[in-house]
Amino acid sequence: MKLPRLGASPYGLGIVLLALAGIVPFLPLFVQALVISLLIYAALAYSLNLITGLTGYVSFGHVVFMGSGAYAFAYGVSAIRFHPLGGVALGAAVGFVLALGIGVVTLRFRGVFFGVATLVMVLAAQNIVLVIPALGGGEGMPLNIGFQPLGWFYTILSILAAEIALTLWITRGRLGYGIRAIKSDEDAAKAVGVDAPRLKLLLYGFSGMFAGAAGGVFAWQNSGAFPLTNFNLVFSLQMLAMIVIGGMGTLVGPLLGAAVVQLPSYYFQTVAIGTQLIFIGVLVAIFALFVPGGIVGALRKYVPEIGRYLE
Amino acid sequence: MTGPLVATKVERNFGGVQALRGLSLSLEEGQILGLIGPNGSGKTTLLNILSGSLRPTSGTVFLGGQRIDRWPTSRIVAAGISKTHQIPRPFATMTTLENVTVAAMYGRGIRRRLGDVRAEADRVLAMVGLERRRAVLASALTVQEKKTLEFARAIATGARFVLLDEIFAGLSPDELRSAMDVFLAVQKELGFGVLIVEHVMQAVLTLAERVVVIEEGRKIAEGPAREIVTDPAVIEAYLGPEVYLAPS
Repeated sequence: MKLPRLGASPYGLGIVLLALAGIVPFLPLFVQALVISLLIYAALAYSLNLITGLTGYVSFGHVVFMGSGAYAFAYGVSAIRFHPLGGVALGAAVGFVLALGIGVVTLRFRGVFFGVATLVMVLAAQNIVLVIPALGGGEGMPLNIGFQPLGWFYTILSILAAEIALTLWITRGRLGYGIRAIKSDEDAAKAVGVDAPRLKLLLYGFSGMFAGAAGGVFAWQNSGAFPLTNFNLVFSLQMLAMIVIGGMGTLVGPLLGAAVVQLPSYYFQTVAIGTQLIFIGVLVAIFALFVPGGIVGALRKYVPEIGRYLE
Repeated sequence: MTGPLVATKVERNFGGVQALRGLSLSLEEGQILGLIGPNGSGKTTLLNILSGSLRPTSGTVFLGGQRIDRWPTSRIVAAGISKTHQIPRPFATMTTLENVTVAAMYGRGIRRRLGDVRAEADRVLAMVGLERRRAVLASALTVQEKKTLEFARAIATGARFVLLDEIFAGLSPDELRSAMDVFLAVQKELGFGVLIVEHVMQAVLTLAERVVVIEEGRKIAEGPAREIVTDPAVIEAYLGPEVYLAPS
């Protein structure tokens, strides 16, 4: 069989995901849980990377798509009696449609104005959910669907693989040229015929779709959707932290960022309780100030022997 | 043939400022029309309206019988009009070839194979003499090369009308001569219409068959280049009204 020539990064990521798929069922439950939450975070990071990493539009509102995906999952599983996988698919669909609707309006803003518009969205979404009786109001929607770690694991692994494949397809193909042009100078891109509003909206839609799917798995793992948990702005900030630390707009950066942000979380939940956000905040400040390219950018610059294989 | 580009009674206000006050002009494919006027007379505003990055407050723009003044920029580019920026705006993080590839790929509003598009971009780079700089990041180009890249991107869209905003400004006499030679050769080969905004009179007078002069958003003269520069209204617009000195 002849393998397509994709380069080191896609094959490396593929091998990592395949290895996880083979090994994780045999690992202790504690490690499985660790890997699953790492993958959920990585899936969120890749979803934000599609819009913020590729176009430079900094979205603080991604938790809205994640939270809506979680609620769609809970509603689908409890009220419509979906299989959990159907619930995740519903979460993805809701995330996609919501992102298209919100994107039509917010993507007209640029720079800090887009950031503020997406930030406001989070506050609005939480309050909207709180007053809808069908979504459980302040109680949320607890589910009784049992403990299925391998179901969570393989679902989120597939979502992650799809995201990486989509990111690769977009950046390598025709669309990649238009998107890089938009990130570099949106008006100049329009002047050579790039339909910037449509391209941005497409990316935002995919971005919302994957955040919604990851939110669905999150609700599956947490046995329900809850307003204060699922619409917590901290998720948005962690997503941003992951792509800033890993390397914005890169193919492997979001996974590296997710590992840095998420893997130490058990330490922070058991030993240094309550200091995780301080740790992440300091780390982001350091990266933003001194390592603007993130881990991938730094490796490319200072360790070219490794860096040139990273995309 | 795309047909003429015709602007009729175009007005544009910015708040209380009237940048254009009922300006009309028309341009045929293959023709080179010069547009001159003092600073602030509305030249760049007119180019922005023709290229779709601004909308007129009133008035119309037609391209070959289709009204285009409410179209989004990308659609206008696909219909065959493209513009260079007065201050070059290359995609700094992309190479010279990639810059032109973006234009060749998106400028025609149709899907084409990536290989064909790249070959097209290489052809355009060879035409304008940038082929040796194809793999260089656009941010590393010299000012003249960036201006040439603006021109290359504009023609790579397959435009039938190219709007040039001071593309010859700030060049040394030698650079100017070679830039004009390149421009004329490309224009002759591709046969697009050109609206050229320029302060460098030598360029306008050499290149343009016809010149439109505007002042404060109005057309004050139009005609062959050589006649325009001796028109008293034009001289007054540039130099102010004639001053009579009292005999000493």
